[in-house]
Amino acid sequence: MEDTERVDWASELEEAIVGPRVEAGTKRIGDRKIVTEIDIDDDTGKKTKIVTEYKIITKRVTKAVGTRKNWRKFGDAAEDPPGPQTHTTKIADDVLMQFLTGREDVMGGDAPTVSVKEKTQVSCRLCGGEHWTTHCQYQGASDAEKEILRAKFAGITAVEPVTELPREGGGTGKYVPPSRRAGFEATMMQSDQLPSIRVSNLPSDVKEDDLRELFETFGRIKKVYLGKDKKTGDFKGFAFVTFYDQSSADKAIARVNGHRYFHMILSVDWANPSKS
Amino acid sequence: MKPLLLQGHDRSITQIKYNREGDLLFSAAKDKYPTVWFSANGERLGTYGNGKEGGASYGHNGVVWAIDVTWDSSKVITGSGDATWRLWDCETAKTLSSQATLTGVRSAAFSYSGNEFFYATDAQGKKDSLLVVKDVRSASHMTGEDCILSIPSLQNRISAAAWGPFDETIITGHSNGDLSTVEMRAKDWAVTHGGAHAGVVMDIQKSKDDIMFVAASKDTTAKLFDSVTLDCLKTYKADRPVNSAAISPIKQHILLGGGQEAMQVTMTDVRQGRFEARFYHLVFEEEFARVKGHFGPVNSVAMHPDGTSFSTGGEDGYVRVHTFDPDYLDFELSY
Repeated sequence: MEDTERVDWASELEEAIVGPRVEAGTKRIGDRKIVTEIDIDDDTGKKTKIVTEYKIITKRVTKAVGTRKNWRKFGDAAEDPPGPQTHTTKIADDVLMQFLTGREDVMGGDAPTVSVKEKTQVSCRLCGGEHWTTHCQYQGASDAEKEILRAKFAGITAVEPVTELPREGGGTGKYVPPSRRAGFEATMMQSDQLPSIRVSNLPSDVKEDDLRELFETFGRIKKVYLGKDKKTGDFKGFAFVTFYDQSSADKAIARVNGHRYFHMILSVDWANPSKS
Repeated sequence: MKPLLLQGHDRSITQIKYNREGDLLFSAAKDKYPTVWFSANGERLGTYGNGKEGGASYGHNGVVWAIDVTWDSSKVITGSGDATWRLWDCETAKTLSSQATLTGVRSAAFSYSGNEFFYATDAQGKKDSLLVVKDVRSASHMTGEDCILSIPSLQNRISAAAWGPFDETIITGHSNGDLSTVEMRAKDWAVTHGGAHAGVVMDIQKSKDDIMFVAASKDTTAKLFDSVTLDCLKTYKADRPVNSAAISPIKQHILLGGGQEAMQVTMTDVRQGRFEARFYHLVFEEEFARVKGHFGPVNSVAMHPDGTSFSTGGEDGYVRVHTFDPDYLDFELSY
């Protein structure tokens, strides 16, 4: 079979620009073919060594298919050199097969996580028990009694989850969100008890950072929450600031309440009136 | 997966077909030159007909509606809207035989043995749609009027056709949605399933063992039929016209290609046109996967005979050759 050694237009163009390449050598190592070429720049005479590595894939096919592989090209393709040509064959962008049904069968056994979730979702603010605060039987209890109750329930909830919850990086190999990891319970309980203040009558253009700047002078802040309209997302003029310790919250209320902030007079009080 | 994009045709693809081993992919389009490709790397092997060498052009002179290849990939038959059929040598692209027909040829295919082929012509004016079977080995069939069988379809034109099991029948789909069979021995119409589809039957593709076939229709469904009794076994509902459907040779899957009518495409965007290739479960009739790509309706789909890749040909003139990712091959519909 005569080989006319035609090159496709892309390499012709390249040749015209960068000058001809001189093939320096071809090596075959295992299934790899390494072609070394030397490229000489016409203007500067600078030599560039180009090493191209090809992987040779051997496929076993039937005799008929093998014979067809060596057929001469014909028709409009008669002039094409061997191999796929860029003007007729392209590799298209990656497309994904979109599966429409979920693959729950592969995920498997998420029943235990559901039960854990149910267990930890509800926690009473008064006593720490697993019911809503409004349903708590200790509604009328004094502060001292509440402290005792809290300590009691915290003791139980701190022991229970450790035995049930999957340990971090444990044998199940499943991802466990930090909120469900053992040991998180205690910090979670604390954050509920951290002193929070409610700041109202704020200017509408106030940002979280502005409030942090204002209250940081009284102590370390855990979080700042801006009250926003659920539908429109507009700021509603009040915010909650949670401090790490009681004294900074006390100071903040005493110092800021009734003071001017830009054109507004701020009103600051405990977030949860029962804590006052 | 990274599909191979074959850009050999100037106009929309009408039919694509693999040969028996699946190493060659044949494509026919509304331009004049049916093309053959290596399916593994998308290399163009050649075109049947050539118009670029001034004066020496040969081949079809109009839209090529149908293409088929013999089991041993030695001969290719093409049917064209220029009212001819052509028999080609697959390797050299020489025309072995060619004949003019009364009207355009809509459908053509070789029998299992490769010794006979049928072609079906369009109805035009007072000329009925004709189904003709010829023997490749007979000189009088190739040069003259002789044929094994020539039978008109009186009411409705034949819009798609395929050989039945053991070459005993030819299954025809009609423009009004009917399906029929022609008995080769009796040389007459045998079974008719009136109203099998509510719209034009666009494509008929058989399962690997020929016991059933899937018919795609403009009535927005593809249906699975028994090859002998023409009983409807399953219905695959899409929300757009279905132009082509194929049955996977290795899995219980159906591949559907279609989309909104080409003439209405400009009115909507690509996403609404639903030009995806869609996969349905053969038994549960449930769609489970889609593959995007074409920016016009898909006119023809074909599954590789080994079931690990598939190709689609679109109104946009491109053929896309997809090799399945492992996640498809591992996929099992949960039930």
